[in-house]
Amino acid sequence: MLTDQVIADGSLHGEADAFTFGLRMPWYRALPLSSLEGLEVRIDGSAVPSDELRLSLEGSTYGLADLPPLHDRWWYVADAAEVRAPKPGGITEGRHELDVTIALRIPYIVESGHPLVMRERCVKVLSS
Amino acid sequence: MTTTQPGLPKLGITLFSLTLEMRRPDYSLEGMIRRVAELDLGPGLEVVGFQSLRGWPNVDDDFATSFRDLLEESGLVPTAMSMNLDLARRRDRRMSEDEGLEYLERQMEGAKKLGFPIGKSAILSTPRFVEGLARITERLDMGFGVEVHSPDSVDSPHVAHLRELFDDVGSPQLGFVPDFSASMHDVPPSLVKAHRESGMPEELIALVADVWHSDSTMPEKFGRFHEEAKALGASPGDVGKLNMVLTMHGRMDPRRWAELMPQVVHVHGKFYWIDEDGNEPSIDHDSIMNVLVEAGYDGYVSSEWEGHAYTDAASGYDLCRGHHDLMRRLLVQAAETAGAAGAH
Repeated sequence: MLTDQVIADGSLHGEADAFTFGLRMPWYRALPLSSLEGLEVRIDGSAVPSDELRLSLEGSTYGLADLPPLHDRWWYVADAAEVRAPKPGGITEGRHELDVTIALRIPYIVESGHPLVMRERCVKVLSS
Repeated sequence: MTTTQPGLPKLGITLFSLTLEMRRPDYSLEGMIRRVAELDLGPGLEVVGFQSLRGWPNVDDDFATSFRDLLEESGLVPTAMSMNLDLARRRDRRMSEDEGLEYLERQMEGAKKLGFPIGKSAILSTPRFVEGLARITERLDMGFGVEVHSPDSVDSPHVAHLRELFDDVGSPQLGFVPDFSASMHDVPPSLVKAHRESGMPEELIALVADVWHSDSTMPEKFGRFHEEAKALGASPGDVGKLNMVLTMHGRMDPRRWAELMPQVVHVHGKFYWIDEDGNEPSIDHDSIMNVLVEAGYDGYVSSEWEGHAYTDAASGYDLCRGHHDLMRRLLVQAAETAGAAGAH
């Protein structure tokens, strides 16, 4: 359901030394940016280091390390974040397998002292 | 609208039921509200602030005006604002009681601006927090409800504690929102089907159903399920998924809602499927509607389809339409029974 939409259909684009795609949250309501605890991206089986990923939302760009203090900045549920993943040489035009795992802390579901962390994986073959 | 006789519970919908429809490329909030009205899924309209309202809890004046106008034009009535207490919003620490109260107060103000008379949320179960809530609801002249949702029941420790706190503060504006997930008689067949179709091993499905139906406490159920699933070689992922069967669907006798009715401010008509006979196969709606009618509840019931978490085999619009037909049919029967018994 929502997990199938983590990678936005038709959103894969190649650049000279990177590729971009649309990321949608596997949740039903807006979450603070501080909730995004992890993002793993593999293209055609090869992992992009998570610390090199960049997310753009509402005109601002962030690395994962920028997110922890951003509890007053929001990712609205309907919006796709643009993820930019550096890849030397870029990607060839054509079909690629994108494998994305996203970890989201759900700030209002705290069980036995621990907030719920949703970890969802989406794998799609997209044409760039 | 799905109208019911005066003095009976009134029907409505929470837009949470339309979570998957919200992801369609042609979605707009206005379009969705108009569609709800077209399909007679009111008159009550409930929304989750953080889901339906960009920028929540900030509500600008123009938006508030157009929202209220749209509802009036559509014949819909705002019933409850579903809010959240994001205690774990910060990475460095939890929100304090005061921060939590401020967080809910802002949402209550947003709700009032949009015309909602009631806000609902989980809370911190402390006297200070509840006293703070009582002050907020008095100042804003609004109601406030805490959901009683699986795995809680009317007398689980958490709810018993809240009932005590509410009694101590004695505010008529604070109360509860029964959610039908707490009072089911079976694991939803639509959920079992989804697990099966996703390749969940049959013996694990059978195990969790057996544990679910057993007369043990929740801790005993989790313990037994984890132990026996492990013995069957279940992966941690599968154990986690099936664990949710135990947490999300409670087995309380629906007639026990009667004990809570004097403090009920709103009702969540949680459901998972409507079958070909127009019934919900895992929840005894007959008993629940009887409880509501016998208690003289004339507030709203928001149809809340939650099956979208695991299936897109039907549209939330169609299923809520079926849910309304079911509830209206049962309410007519319940009213006749109550009338015959001289209850009204």
